[in-house]
Amino acid sequence: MYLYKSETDSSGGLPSASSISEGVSIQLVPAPFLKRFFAYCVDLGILGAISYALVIVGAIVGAIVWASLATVLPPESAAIVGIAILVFLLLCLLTLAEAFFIYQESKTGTTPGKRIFGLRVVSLDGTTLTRGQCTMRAFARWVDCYMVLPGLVAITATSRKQRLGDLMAGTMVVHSARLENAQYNLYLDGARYNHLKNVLVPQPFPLPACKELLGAVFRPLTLPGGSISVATRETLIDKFRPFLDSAGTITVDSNELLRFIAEEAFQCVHSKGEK
Amino acid sequence: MVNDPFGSPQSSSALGPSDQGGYVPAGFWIRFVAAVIDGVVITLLSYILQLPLLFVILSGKFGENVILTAQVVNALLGIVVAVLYLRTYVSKGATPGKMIFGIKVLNAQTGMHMTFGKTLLREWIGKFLSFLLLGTGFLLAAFRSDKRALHDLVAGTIVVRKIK
Repeated sequence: MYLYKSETDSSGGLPSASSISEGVSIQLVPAPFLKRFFAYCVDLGILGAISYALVIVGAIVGAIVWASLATVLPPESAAIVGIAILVFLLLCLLTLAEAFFIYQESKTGTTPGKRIFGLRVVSLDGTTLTRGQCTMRAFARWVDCYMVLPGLVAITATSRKQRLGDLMAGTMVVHSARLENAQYNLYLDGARYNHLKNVLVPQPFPLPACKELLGAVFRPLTLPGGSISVATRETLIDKFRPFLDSAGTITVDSNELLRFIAEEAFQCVHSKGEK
Repeated sequence: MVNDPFGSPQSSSALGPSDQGGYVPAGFWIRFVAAVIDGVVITLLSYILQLPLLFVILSGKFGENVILTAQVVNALLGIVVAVLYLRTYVSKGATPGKMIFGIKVLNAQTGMHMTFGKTLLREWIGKFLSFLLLGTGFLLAAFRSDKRALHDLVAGTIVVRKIK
C-alpha cells in the first residue's frame, strides 16, 4: 500500500483526505492539471513510438496475407478481406493503447509518463487499485480525453480534480513533489537521500563551494572506474560539516555521506538556477 | 514520519565504499528510442496547439491573408514548443523521453545541468553538425567508450543513464 504523505506546509489547506488501512488519515495532493496533461502526452508518445513499429510490421504482414488471398478469392471478397485486415490492425492498436494504461496502472499505480511527473493513481477507499478500477478509467478516457470538454469540466469542478473516469472508479490522481524530485537524484538513491535529509537537516550550502565540490566528485562518483581516495573524501566532507546538523547519533559511511552532500549540493545549485 | 514511505532506513551497507555510483554513460539505442518518443510527444503537442488555428482557418471569417498569418503563427508556436522543450534540459537535465529511461544530459566537466546557452549549442549547432556529416556524428556515440556523440563533444556534455 503506497500513499504519499503530502507536503502540507507548501500546499496549505487541502480539500481531500483519505484514510489508509492502518486508520491513519493522510491528506492527498490532487495532481495539477498541466502535469497530468503533459504526463498523458508522454504516455501517448510512448504508445506512438510502439505503434510506429507495429504499423510497419503489420502493414507488411497484412499486405502479404492480402496479396496471397487476393490471387485465390474473387475480387469482391478480396476487398472485404482487405478491409477486415485493416480493421483487425486498427483494433490491435486500440487494444494496445487500452492495455498499456490498464496494465501499468493496476500494476504500479502509475504509467511511465505519470512517473516522471511524480503522479500516482490512488483508490479513494484506501485499498489497492484493482484492475476493474483501471479498466473503468481507461474506457472513460474516451469521453474524458478524446472529447476533451467532459474531462476538463470534471477536473475543474471537483475538489479532488477527478475526471469522469476517476469519479466512476472511485480514484484520484495525486502528486508528490518528493516523488517527482527523488527520481532525478544523481548521487544517492531517492529513499536514502530523503532519510538522511530528515536526520542531518542540512542548511543551504554556499553556491561556489557546491560548484567546486561537484566539479571534483562528478566523474569519480557517477562514472564507472572512478574512485576518490579516503583522504580527499574526508577533506571534502569536512568543508560541509558546519552545514549539517549531525548532533543526532547517526553513523553514516563516509562514502555515503559524501554522496549525500554531493546530491544536496546538486539540488542547491539547481533550485537556485531555476528561479 | 510514520506514514512516510521514504522514512524507513535501509541498511547502509547497500552503499558501501565499493559502490561506484548509479550512473553509466547512456548508449546509442536507448538514446535513439528516447529521441523517437520525444519526436512523437513534440508532434502531439504541436498538433494540439495548432488545433485552434485550424478552426480559425475553417471558419473563413478572416479574409485572404489567413493562410499566411496561420503560417507565421504556426512558426511561432513551433519556436514556443522548442524553447519549452529545451528548457527542460536546464530545469530537469533531460527531456521527457529521456526521463522515462532515467537518462540525464550533464556538463562533462562540472557534472551540473546544461545552461540554456549550452543547450542551444548542443541541440542546434552540435546536432546540425552531426547531421551534416551524414549522421556519423550521432553514430559516434555507439563507438566511443564514454558514449559521447559529436554534439556532446562540441558542447562538452555527457549523457548518463541510471542503472537499476
